Amino acid sequence: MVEEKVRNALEKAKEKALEEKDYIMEVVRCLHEQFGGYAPPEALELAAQFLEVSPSKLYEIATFYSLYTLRKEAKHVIRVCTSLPCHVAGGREIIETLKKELNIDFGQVTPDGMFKLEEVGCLGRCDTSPNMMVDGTLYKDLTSEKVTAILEAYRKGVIE
Amino acid sequence: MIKVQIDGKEYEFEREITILEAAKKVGINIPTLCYHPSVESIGACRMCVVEIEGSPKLHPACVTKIKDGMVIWTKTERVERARKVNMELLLSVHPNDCMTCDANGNCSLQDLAYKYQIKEPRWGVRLRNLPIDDSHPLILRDLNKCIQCQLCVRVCDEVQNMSVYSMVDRGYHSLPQPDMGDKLGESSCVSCGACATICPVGAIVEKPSIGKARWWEVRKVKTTCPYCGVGCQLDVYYDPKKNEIVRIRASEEDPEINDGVLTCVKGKFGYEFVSSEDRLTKPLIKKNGEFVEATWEEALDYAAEGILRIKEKYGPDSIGVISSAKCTNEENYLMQKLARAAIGTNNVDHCARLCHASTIVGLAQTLGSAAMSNNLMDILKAQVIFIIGANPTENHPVYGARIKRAVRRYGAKLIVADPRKTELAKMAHIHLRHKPGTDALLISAMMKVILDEKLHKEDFIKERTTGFESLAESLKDFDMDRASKVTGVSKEKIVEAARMYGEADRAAILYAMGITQHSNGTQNVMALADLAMITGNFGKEGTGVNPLRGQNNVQGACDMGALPHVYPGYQKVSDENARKKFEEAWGVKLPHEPGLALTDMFLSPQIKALIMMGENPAVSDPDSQHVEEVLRNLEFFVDFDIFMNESNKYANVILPAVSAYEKDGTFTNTERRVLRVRKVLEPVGDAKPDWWIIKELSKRLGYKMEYSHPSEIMEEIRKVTPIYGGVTYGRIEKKGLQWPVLDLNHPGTPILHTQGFSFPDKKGRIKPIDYSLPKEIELPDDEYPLFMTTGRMLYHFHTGTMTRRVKGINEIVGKAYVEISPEDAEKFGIKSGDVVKVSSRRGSVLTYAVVTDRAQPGVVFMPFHFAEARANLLTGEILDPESRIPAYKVSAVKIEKVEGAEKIEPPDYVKRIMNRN
Repeated sequence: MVEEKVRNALEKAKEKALEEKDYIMEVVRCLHEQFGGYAPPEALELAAQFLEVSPSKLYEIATFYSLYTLRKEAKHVIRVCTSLPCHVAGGREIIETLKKELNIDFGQVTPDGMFKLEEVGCLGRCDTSPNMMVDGTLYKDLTSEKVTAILEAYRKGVIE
Repeated sequence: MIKVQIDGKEYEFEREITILEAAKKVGINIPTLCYHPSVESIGACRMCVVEIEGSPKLHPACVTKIKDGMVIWTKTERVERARKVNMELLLSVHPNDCMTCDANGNCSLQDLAYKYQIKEPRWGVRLRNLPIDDSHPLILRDLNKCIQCQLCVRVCDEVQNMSVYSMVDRGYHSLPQPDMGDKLGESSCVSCGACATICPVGAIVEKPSIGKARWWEVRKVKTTCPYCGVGCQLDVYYDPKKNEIVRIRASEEDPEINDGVLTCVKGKFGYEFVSSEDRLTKPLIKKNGEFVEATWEEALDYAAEGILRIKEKYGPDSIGVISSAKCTNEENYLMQKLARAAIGTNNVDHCARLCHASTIVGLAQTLGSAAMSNNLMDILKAQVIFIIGANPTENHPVYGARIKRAVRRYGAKLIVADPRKTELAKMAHIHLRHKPGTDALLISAMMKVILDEKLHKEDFIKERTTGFESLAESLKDFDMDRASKVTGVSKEKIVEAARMYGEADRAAILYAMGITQHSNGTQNVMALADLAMITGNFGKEGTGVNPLRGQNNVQGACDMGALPHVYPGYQKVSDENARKKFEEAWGVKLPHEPGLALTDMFLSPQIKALIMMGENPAVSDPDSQHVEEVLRNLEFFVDFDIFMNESNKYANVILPAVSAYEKDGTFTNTERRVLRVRKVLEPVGDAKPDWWIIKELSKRLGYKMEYSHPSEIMEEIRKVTPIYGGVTYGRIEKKGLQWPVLDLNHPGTPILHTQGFSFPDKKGRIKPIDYSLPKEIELPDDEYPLFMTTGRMLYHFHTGTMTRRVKGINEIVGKAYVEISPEDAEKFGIKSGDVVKVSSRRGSVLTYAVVTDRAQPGVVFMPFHFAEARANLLTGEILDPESRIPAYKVSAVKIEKVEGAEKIEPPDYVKRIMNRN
């Protein structure tokens, strides 16, 4: 039920948000969580109705942050850092491995719908670079071998 | 004083303004793309960058404030190079199609490309190749041309307060899109067109203007909007070769009225009626039941002979003169002068009788002055706004948007009392959803709470008013439980609202027809005046009692004495001194007795002839069938209008008048501001301004009027009307003045009652209120089980003679409808879109149903703009005994589904507004 999930998201967001304007940001994040990694337009619209704001206010946030998507594009979304600290710590090889293993480029989805690969500016953990994030989980101090193993674990369903 | 150096010269400024504003003040032009004075600057386009000595980076002038000792360079090589690169980046996605672009000649991007001589950006051009959004009947969006300045987003959010647009996606791909990325025509857009007005390029343009004329072919005239009482100042662009309006935009010169950028859909797009094929272009005389074209001489002679014949036969009081709130002050002044001086009767009135007659009576008795006490701008200073019986976001849309801003931006608390869940009611902190006709009771209940909880201001009451004891006495035994039961509002809510209003330092009351159009309308109005007086809410910003006037010049028509009981400036006809003054000024003896009110003219057998200017009572007045019968049976009927309509088809002679876009004059808006109306177009055909028609008719009735221009009439007005004493065309050339303007040096009066109320002793008159239900009220019964209220809706105006001739507007909403609550719909087996018959004791109309929780169970609503489904066939002629206003807001009706009729799909707009949050 979309409505139930929207109501849950609104409740959850209330627990966290301190101010009114934070609230709407948090709502989008919670919606994303509620729907398992995406925030469908009908949910955003419904949330806007409950919040008595223009739907444009939520749509704007949902389309601005690369973390959010409006539809489920793949089972898992891999976000890999392309910034300098990761790059010098071996990030280039990580990206090469990912592209080779998945046989896709940035912004693409594997034919089986399992993975989407995205580049991000920074994951905020330069101390453990190179980093990548799969859905909500951060993987740090990566090597090519680790990447292959992680992908395998997702493919086999060892990690959900 | 702040000393700064700009481009090598020293300047001093009083306040810490932005570098852009400072440069502008001293005549230095800094290029901008994303700047507009009506919205907040965001420094997005980086065109206005300047160098500041001592700072390594370039600073955007629109968001950087000047500081003492600052040294600013606006045209250095570095600055110009940065601007040029910026332009090249913008042009690298911009189609080079100025040849067919509607903004050609009025495009900031084009001007700067020319200035910097960029033929092609150094990186080449990669267009966005987006589809054009052609979904809206009035606004076209081609985002291939968008420069991402976000002006449309900001104006929609900050000024119109709809927030339809937002910037969707990031970086290069970021573009303004409505709602959830929808097409504009399918979004919650209210068609105000501010995005098209503000767009600095050709990305958002006015659809009806496309292909009409190039910007350099049009000329601009500033005038006052001919629709509602807000009085928006408009720049009308017209093509002199075709004598046609090309587009309308808000004037930037008057932010206090329409924010320097805002219009509503009617003001911006509702001008096509001017060049409608249906315009009357020749005088018409009815011969053997058919209208035949005549010359002005023939028609005027014929009209005068007819009137003189009736006057001879039955006396002057057998003639009724109906003036018009759509016409100018000058014309209203002449019309009442025609009645009083040329014909010799006080039977002169106009449609204010139907909207604010009870305001005039009610406020004159309590405050001494029958007008909005405060002004449109200072609502932003109110801590609490109490709106009762008004729906400003639809009926005074530009002001409605400002009320939303007061709440959203300035944190005002909003109380709305309305049986309908209007847009503002949904936004309100407290919505008092009372039953129709229980306003006086509801307001009295609030006063009871305020007195019981000692929230009233004793000092104010003592110093500034009289009569408090009688009010307190009348409320002593007030029964709150009964009030709660009868109004349908819980006691807790009444108490909460009373506290919110009573505890505020600055609380403003706004009201309109939901208060006035009742058979106890005057009591309702006086109750509001009492409420504001006992809480000391007068004479300060953001306070007062503020009637919102419905027509463009209903305030002015009243000021000019187009009323049966007063001369211009509310000087009573029964006052001998006033009469003597006017007898002297006009050189004739004047009648002593007040004349008949508009509503009484249609009820009294005394009226044998009518002279009517620009009104359509067969649609606007209650009980249309009866009105038509009266018009049909008149012995003689002279009408001036711009169109044939449901009323003047009964006339003996119709004199073709011109619209507000074809004549000079003044309107007085709802905040008492006298504003210039300027001639934009040459009149169509042989049509003439109403003032000319009145003058010529008067001459033929034996009373000479000599004027060659409306400014001469204003000179005469100001000499006999103290509140207009200092109004001259010269003084209001740039900005309007708010009456009272007592003499040529008087600056006008933005807020009334600052020193005292408008009585000789300066004291307001608190009156006890008769809060029992109106004695004459048509209550629902078994046969007619529902209340019906009537009113206006956003897209149309009054009897529709103007707006229904605008193509785009009718594509959006073209049919009448009836709003019915889900509960009633279920009870009567009705679904949205069903064709229904709505009947009252007086008649029935066919329309379609819109099921919505905007309607309260037991109450249906119909807009009255649609002659083919005339809401006023259903309304009755129960009048307020004090002001003679009809009780439009309460009629008993029944509603039945018409079996077998094809369903009508409600237009998107209607569906949306019914659900809008």
